[in-house]
Amino acid sequence: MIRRGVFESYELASPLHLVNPAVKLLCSLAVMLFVSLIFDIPTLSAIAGWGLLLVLGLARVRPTVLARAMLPFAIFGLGFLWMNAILPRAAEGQAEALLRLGPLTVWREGLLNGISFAIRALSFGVYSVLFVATTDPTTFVLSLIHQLRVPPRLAYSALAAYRYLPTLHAELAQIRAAHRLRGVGETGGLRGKLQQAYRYTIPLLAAALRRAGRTANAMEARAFTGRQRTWYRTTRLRTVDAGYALLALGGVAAIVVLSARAGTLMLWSGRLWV
Amino acid sequence: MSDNTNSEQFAQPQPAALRRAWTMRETVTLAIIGVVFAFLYLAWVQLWLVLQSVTGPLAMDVLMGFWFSGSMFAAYIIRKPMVAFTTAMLTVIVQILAGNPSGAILLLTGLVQGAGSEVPFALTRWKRYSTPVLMASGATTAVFSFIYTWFRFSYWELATGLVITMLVIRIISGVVLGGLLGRFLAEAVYKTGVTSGLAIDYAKRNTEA
Repeated sequence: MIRRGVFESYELASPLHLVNPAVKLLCSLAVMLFVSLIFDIPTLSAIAGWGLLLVLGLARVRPTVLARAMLPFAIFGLGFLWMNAILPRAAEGQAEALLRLGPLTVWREGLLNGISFAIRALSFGVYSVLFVATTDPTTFVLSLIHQLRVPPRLAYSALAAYRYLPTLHAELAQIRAAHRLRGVGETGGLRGKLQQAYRYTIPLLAAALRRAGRTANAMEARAFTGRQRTWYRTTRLRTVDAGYALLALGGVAAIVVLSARAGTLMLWSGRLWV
Repeated sequence: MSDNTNSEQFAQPQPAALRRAWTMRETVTLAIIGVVFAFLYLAWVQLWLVLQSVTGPLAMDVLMGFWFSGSMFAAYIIRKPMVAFTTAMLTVIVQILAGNPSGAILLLTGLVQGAGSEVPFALTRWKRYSTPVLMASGATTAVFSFIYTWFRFSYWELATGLVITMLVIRIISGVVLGGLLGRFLAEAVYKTGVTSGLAIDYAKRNTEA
């Protein structure tokens, strides 16, 4: 059985697959930008929850696939949580210590900040899965060209890069296999780690550039640079797109209004770590 | 027999990589550099989180330069206007889609850092890509990004001495981990031969001829 990651999920079908990719992308980006300005835990959780509903309900992403896609976000989120909780407070006198573990002190404010960071990281994850898992890259490029007026050359270059992204893991596995075949072991220590990073980075970059050259040649041979293109398929804006935008953005707006009414809403005040 | 003399009568056409207009190869190369560096930057975020839990906020300034290196790497290879800026923007877009916990606010980060990295190249009218210019690009990126984080993380609340220390560390990091490392990686990749036909290749041939 083929293991489907989040980047291959676009091959399945869901209501969200019918929505214009440009609309989906702009909706997700708008929510992410807005979420960056929100700092309180209840509002952030509600927005993340709303995204989760959309991902599981409208995008029909399987929970296992979602869990795998969310793993990096969860790791980053936990890192932020832990870092914020134990970071020394600027105003020691006013801070409230929750727990002391030897030299480490868990601060109440830091912990709250950390939790809101972690939830924010998760909601970024949810809203990017919403786009990535339901978008056929080719349709995405067509909508970039037709709706967002991106020049075809640039849009198709973006497509080549976008398709490269999910193969990075395979590329790394191949480099590792090549190293092992030649008996290059993985050594410990800082020096070993540095050497290892070098041994992975250069082949990765070289392979990427080689791939870029070949792709570009193939595209030039097929006259991708030509003017006056005709299109086999065009994407347009339809009522379903407006419906999705209303649903996704309206839901977030409703959450924010409700939260402001309840007095829990906290917007960015020019501070981050205090 | 007269092949040589004949060809000399015609003006040598200028290679596409040295003209102003972008070739397909360059656009695709830049896009893919954006993807790979976004991936490397994300790995670097993890290192930052670990170091930060040990040394505190200064870790960001120490490690910052690596998050600039893609711009200098791409500029050194492709050598065209706006390469450094576009690389910065591409890497943040890919990072947002692939999962950076900072989310869409990174668009602003990319805009500021991209603008900063482009300044020294613009000052040479995109003609010189020497080591000092690459180092300068790392330094200006550091200064731009410092002004940005000054506002974002309210540095005015910190002691002046600490802020100056942070600025100096960040500039050093930008020069070393950004400019010099970006150049070093580009040189290593050049040696593998995959950059033949790109601007770096022509520049090397001219200096060695």
